[in-house]
Amino acid sequence: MLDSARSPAESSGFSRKIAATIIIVYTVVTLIPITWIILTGFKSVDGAITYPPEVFFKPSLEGYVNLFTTRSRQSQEYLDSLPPPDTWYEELVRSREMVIAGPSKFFGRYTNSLIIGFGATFLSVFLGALAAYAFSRFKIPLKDDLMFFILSTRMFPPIAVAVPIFIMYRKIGLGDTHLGMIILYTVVNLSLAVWLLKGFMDEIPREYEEAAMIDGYTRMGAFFKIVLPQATTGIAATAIFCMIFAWNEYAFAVLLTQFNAQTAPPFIPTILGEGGIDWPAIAAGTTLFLIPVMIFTVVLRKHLLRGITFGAVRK
Amino acid sequence: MTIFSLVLYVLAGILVCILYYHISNFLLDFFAKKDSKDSSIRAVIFIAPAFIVLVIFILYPVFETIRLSFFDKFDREFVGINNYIWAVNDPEFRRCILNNLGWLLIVPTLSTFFGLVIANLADRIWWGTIAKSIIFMPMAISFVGAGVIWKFVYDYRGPGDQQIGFLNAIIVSFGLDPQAWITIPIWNNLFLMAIMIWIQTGLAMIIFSAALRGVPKEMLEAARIDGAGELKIFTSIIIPYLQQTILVIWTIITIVVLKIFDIIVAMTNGQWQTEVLANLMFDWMFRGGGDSGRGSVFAIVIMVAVIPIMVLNIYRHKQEQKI
Repeated sequence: MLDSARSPAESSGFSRKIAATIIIVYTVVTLIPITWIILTGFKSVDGAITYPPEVFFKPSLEGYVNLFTTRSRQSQEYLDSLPPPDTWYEELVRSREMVIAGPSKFFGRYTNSLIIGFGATFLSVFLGALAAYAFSRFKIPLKDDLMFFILSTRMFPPIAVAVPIFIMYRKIGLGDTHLGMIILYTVVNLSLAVWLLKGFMDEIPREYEEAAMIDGYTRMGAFFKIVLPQATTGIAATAIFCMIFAWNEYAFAVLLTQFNAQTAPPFIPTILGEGGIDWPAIAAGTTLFLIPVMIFTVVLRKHLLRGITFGAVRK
Repeated sequence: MTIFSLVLYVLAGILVCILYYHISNFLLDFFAKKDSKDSSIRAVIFIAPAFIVLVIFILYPVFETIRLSFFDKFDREFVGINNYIWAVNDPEFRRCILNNLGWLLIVPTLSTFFGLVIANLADRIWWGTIAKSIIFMPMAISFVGAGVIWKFVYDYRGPGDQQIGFLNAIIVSFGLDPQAWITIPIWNNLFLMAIMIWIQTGLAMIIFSAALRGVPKEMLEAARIDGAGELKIFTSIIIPYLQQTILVIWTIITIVVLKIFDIIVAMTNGQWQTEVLANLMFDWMFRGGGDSGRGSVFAIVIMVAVIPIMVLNIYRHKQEQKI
């Protein structure tokens, strides 16, 4: 009769304990892979492949050094003939009987990801906002059908049109260019941008821009100077969504880019070290690649909700 | 060079936007002055850019894919439905269909189920919000990134050799032999699906926990006063109340699963009987010289598979708009 003190309308302490146990177990299971890869990034190359794997180890930045540099193996005599290393990372590499030959491609790939990500985000938001405004304000013949055509391109698996895109890009010279990838990611993001932004623009009262137009603004002027600033939150949420997609996209990146415009996702899994795959470097690269998006997503998850469900769930 | 091209891109982008602004302004003034109420040129200017890119980069390629599927591997000769006949008799294709079906049945079901249970339970604990943030985290991880991460979990080297996998570290510490997780046919599919469930549960959970706030408190209290157990409340109040949300989440995850490709490329590259349609398509199109005809057939199968979900989703959106 211990429970009699509790209001019967509350869930019992016992069920709360079960709840806590289940949540703890699932949270830990969720965290293990993420923790494991972050830890592996701080292992030394030998440490990463010891048997059995170590959970506790002496941290090393070797993975990160290997990620950003290319190295060549040298004989002990040659190493002895060199002046003492200037920096801690040179020292680390020397201790493996190697010298730094130059920077690796990782930085360039990361920059490519940034250029393509920002470019595609900007374009999809720009084009999306224009279309969304028209759908939100104007009378358009076949409006619903056009909207649903746009919606259907979101559900459509882009990879299913890989062949014609590949052929087209080779013909018109867009293959392995930043511009080509920007256009492609813009197209894939457009439907989301249009639908999301239309929802946000529907919430902005028409009276604002009508008043502005009476004051002598053109329609375009009213759109850029009155409507867009009002929709800042919506634009930011949409932009983050587009950015995450472009940042993470893999299939087209692996297909259409090799050298010039290759982004980080196809590059990271192929990082090779001495005598095979350099696991700590891959782990380090993956960590650096994932952290920005993870922070964004977790911080903004309430906004993202609307994007994931296409406006089906609002707050 | 990269910094330079970055600046160049930004400038070009801004220039195009300014140009677009002025040209369209001019056009609007020119055509739409007289009847400024409802001129169709206005709508065209706003919608056209988006539509043009969608038509060129999605609609045209769809028709091109359909056309290619009726031609031979070099896109030279018309072969009728030969590619389709070949595909139906291809054992690999059949296995892919089975694998895809497995993915479609298991991943949306388990992700939705876990999501619902966790959303429901996390609200009872004071640190539930923190747990929810953590469980949502994998959602941010790209599929190929997830593949790399889970490689570190499932990794296996020969017995006595050096190991880097987490799962084998656990197994070995219990004195068992390390397992080559992703090379055991049938089971390895489940291990790959676990990755997707790991990602999608957070999504389901976050939507459910928003929807759960809509369940009337009085209803739950009344049920508890009537002596209903937690399980009873869950099955006969919460689930019926969230029916619509369950359907929404189900379709979202199903659409994601239909596109499944990256995880399998990163983990097994389709070896050990894990290939799905998208992998098979990719292999036929781009490996070993390429066969655009046969590849396109698989692309079309994927497109057709999406149609029912697409129709269901559009129907749902239409219903919502009526309200």
